[in-house]
Amino acid sequence: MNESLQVDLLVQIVNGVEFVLSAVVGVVLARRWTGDHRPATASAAALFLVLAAVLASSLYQPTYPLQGWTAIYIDVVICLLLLVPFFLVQLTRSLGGVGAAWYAATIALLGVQVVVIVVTPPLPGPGEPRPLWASLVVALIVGAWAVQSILASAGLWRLGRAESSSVRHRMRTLSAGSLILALTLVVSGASGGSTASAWVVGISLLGLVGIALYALAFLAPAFVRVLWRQGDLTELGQAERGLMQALTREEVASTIVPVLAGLLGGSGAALLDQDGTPIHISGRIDLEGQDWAARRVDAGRGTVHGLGQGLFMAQMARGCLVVSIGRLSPVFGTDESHLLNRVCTMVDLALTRVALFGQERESRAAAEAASAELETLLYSVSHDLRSPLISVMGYLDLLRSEHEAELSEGGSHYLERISVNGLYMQSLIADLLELSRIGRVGSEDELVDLAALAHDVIDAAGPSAGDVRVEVDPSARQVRISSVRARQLLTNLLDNALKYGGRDDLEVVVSVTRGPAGEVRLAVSDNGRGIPAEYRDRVLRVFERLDAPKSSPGTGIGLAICKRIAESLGGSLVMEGPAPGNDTGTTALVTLPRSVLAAVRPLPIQGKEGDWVSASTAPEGAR
Amino acid sequence: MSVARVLLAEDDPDHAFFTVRAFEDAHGDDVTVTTVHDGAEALDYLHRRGAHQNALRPHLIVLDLKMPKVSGLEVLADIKADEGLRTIPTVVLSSSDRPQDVADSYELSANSYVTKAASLSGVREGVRDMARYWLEVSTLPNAD
Repeated sequence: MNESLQVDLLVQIVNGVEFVLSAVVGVVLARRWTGDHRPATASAAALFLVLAAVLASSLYQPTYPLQGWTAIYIDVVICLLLLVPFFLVQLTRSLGGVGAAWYAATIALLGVQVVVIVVTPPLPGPGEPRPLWASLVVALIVGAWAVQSILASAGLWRLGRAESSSVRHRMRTLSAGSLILALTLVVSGASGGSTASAWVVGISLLGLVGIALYALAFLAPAFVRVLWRQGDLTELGQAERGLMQALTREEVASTIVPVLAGLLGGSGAALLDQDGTPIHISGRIDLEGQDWAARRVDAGRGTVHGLGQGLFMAQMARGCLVVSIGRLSPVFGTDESHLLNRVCTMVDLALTRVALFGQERESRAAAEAASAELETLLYSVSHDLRSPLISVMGYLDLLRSEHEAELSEGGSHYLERISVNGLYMQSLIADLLELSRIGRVGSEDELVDLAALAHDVIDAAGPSAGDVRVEVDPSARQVRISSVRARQLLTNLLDNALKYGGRDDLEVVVSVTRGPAGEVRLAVSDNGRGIPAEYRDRVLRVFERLDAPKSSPGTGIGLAICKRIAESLGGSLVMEGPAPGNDTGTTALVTLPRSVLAAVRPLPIQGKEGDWVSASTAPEGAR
Repeated sequence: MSVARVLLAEDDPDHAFFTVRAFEDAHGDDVTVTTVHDGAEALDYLHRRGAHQNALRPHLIVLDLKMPKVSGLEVLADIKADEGLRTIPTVVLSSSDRPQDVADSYELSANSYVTKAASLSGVREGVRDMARYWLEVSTLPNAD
């Protein structure tokens, strides 16, 4: 086989490979276009199919000089060749990388070239001398191709700059491919139709590189994409380590959201919680005017959903990620949504871990608080129960040492003291048990009429409570709480007011009103001697009282019990100064949350059965 | 020292009774015990305020820890922070044997911590020892 045959064979093989590559990519893109209907996909498919057609035409070598049909055939092939840079510009334009003026100029240039090809005689064959006009025609074609390729190449490079790394690499590959194809044609034109083997083989191989780069941009195999995204994966790995160390939702969000905003090539990203409230926002992302909680439910879990305008939402168990993805990403497939899915799994795990950690921390804090309280209680028990016990033993000692033989008047006095102390200890123990029972023993909520309850409690308190007034706001009258505890609370507060009022013309008022935020305020106020402001917090603690024990009745636990009941009902108890209109006195104010108000169930709008659900306003996805 | 003055801050009248009696048993007419019933009154007495304008400076202070209004520890802190009062020996006499209370008291420079005994003879012995140590054995700074 001589050298020129070997070169011919090599060129044919390279052409064949180029043809197969172009045809395969063209068909794949054409099929993709039937699914996504994107102008960019159509332009890219057309580009490859035209390339394939041009390459196929090289299989048929007409005999020179060209005449009749063969001349028309070569004109058609050259016109197809002119379409290659045109579709490249068309592709760049559909991605937004070429302005309208340049595009119009490209169309005009295409028209001029077609006219020139049609009106001029057939070009001389390979190896034949070229007249001036033929050189000018070749220069026009090559020049036009070079200008369009450079235009497209610059546009594609520029478009890729702000995109995700995957898209950026694709755009750069396209850009490089365009330049190499332009270079191929320039070299081919400059060769002046030379048949020297070095030129022919060189031009063929250059063309192969250009086409291969094109194919790579659109149909990059997995290992290439992994290489392209190496930087992303390193960054993600660092974020992953950050996520593992995050202790709060905010830390999770601030670790991943900025990274995500950078990785996906969009303008920004945000992490929202289950209620649709943003935890962290990075970059520019428009979250206004959307009910994110409802959208979350609508969209279902575990998938990435397009929301239009480049916004995507990724669902998780404990919230959702809303990201803007680079504008060009959808053209090239699903790399970004795979990435988003992967990040989602990481973030969901991190949020779950943080939530569990938070729960654990809370329950530990609660346990610590409970044990601290128990410690206080035990201390009080050891002190206050031992005190009367010392007295009992003391008087018993005295009784024995001084009055053992006869029980005189003094002896009976000591005996009386013993009994007083015994009784005191009894009430202490009873109250302590009561205190420890609240919170430990659950109690069912039921509908309680506070006005009726107040009258009941006043009746039960006996004659000393005869003049207690009751004022109840009708809107706060019906509440849903534990009636046992509510009764206990009111009884203790009333008892306290009557016991420590310290004047004969004592006036006590039980009132139920609504606070500014709709909360229920249950107040027992008196015009008694009052509690100095500095002691008001103190009297709510266990065993705190303003009088020495035994100088007035009571054990010093009553208000502590009230406070704990109020807290077990979800509310609070504070001791305040005189009620408006009184100069002296105390107001024990129990504030219960708005949620205790007995909600009245609305009636169905239509009388028909089954309308209940449709008349409600549950979000679509919640049903 | 002719007559030793003791200030007893004790909210429980029975305990006060036992303590006063134990002092009298030990020292007879050589001791006068003034009893105040809560921490606030103890401070009034020591600072000669309100009803205690003419109070005499005590030679020894005996403090219960758990008292209404102002606790024994708060009174102790006040005494030991006061230039004029901190030299008066101050003994804590409490029914609590909780280590934290003992530590807190000494932290605030209590001169001694005595746990109330559970029987009268025990109280008597404790007070007698206390009185003997502070009013006889020790030489106290001039109270007047």
